[in-house]
Amino acid sequence: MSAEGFDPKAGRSDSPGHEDSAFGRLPLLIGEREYKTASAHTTCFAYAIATWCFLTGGFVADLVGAVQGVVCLIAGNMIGIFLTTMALGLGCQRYGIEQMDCCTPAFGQRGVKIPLLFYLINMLGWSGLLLVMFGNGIHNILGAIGYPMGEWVVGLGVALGLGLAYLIVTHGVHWLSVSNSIITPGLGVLIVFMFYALIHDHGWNEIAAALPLDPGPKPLTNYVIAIELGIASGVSWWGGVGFLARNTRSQRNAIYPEIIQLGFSGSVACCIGLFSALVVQSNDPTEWMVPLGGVFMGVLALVFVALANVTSTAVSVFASGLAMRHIKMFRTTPWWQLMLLLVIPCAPFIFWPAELFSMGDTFLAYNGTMYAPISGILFADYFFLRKQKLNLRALFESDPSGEYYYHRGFNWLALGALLAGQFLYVFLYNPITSEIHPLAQYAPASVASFAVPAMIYGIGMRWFARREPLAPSPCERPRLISPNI
Amino acid sequence: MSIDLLHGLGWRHSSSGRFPLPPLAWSGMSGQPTNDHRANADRTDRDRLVEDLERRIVELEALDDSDVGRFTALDWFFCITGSIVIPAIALWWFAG
Repeated sequence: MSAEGFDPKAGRSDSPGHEDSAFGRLPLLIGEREYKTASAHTTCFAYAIATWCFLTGGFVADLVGAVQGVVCLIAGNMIGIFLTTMALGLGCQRYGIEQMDCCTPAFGQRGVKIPLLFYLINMLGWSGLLLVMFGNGIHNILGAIGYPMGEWVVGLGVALGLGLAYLIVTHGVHWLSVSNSIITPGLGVLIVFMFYALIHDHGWNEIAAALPLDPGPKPLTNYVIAIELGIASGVSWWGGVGFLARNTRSQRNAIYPEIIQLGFSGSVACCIGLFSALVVQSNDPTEWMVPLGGVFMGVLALVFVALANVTSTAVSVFASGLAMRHIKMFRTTPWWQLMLLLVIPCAPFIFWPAELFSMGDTFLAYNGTMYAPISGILFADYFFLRKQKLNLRALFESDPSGEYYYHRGFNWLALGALLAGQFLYVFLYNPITSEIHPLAQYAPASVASFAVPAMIYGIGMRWFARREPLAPSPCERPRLISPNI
Repeated sequence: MSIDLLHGLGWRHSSSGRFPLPPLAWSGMSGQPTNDHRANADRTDRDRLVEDLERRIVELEALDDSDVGRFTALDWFFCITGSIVIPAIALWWFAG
């Protein structure tokens, strides 16, 4: 659903603070929530179908063939989404809060900036990869129409894409609303077209027989890494889960659309990327279109994918800018400066596009190291420690007497558990060296780094931390002392 | 990612279909009287925001669990089976 989908006739705009709640941090009242069953599914579907699905499919094609790849992508995504969604989705839905606020009871008023930092890394990393895809697209379009150029065009394309994204986020953000209403359905059509071309021109037998692009020497290790990429792909949705959930009116609508659309539909789109990569024998999505669709359709699809990449990058940079407003020192920074601050970390993609693009699978797995432990901690916190009851008032109380303030604003136990989860992940699967510990065959790194921090945090909080609330209960305290909104 | 995420992160969409200036954007204006006026206006806005927050907290804390729709044991069963058990079996089966 696009920005234009907001319907004032639904009786929600009568509330004076509706805009601050729907588009800001104020908790959403039930009557203000936008998504019923159908719209929740539609919105989640629109989230799920994006150009990064092609990238994920391409990365998995490096390691395994079509059959194992489909299993890793679909099963991995489903597991990843489940781990991420349950606590965050139900918590955000119950109280109408956004996900950073839902992390506050576990991490503390200041400690919650750590998940925020991970969120920024995730957003900017994806932006860089999409920009390289944009640069590759320009390179391949020129090649397809008879003007082959050197690899330097890719770097130039990244710079151009970065410039365009910057212009959009500083001067023409309204174009994102317009382009979104074209690009999401267009990507759906493109995926259907690619699937038709694959089956019609190549057939399932050829796809299933295609060899992986760059497998390691041990098939089981390749399979375990592919599972990890599938789970990491599901866990990567952490950044969008809370917003979708807080806008739904029932708990079922907060969970099922995310599992079905983000988990299943998204992974089906990844599978189309996997098949294309195997048939064309390249993990670069911009190299698939011309061989699959011919010159005319291929160039048309490339132009479309390139545009989709720029708008996706703009949305990522923009969303990162808004997330930075949670940090006090950036609350008054001029918008153009904030955007510049976010664009600069993407600059290395201009100079080393091929090298950084080849590390895309490492980045995807790195998402697992960031979000799996956080998801585990939130799961233990919300279901086992707090029994699905949060102190809503304490979420917005930054006074040191607040229940979720802990020690100097940090819950060190949660941060320690998070660190332990990250070490465990790298111990089981090192995304940089692609080394796999034998134990990872029995417990994928993401699952282990979800479960162990959850146990450390749950047991630690129950037995060692101070269990008595530091602050009076909400009914005893009439007003917020220092609201953090 | 769709434009909805922008809303989720705090962006306000005006009824005209255009996006207004980003939150707390630089206006390029200067001068003490203007700054004082703006500071007062910001304080009033903030007081109103906190008041609204208080009202919402009271309303949401008073909600019964059934008001937000129940997620029953059967729902948990479906989710765990579909998202964990079947995928785990499939992964084990195709490990070769």
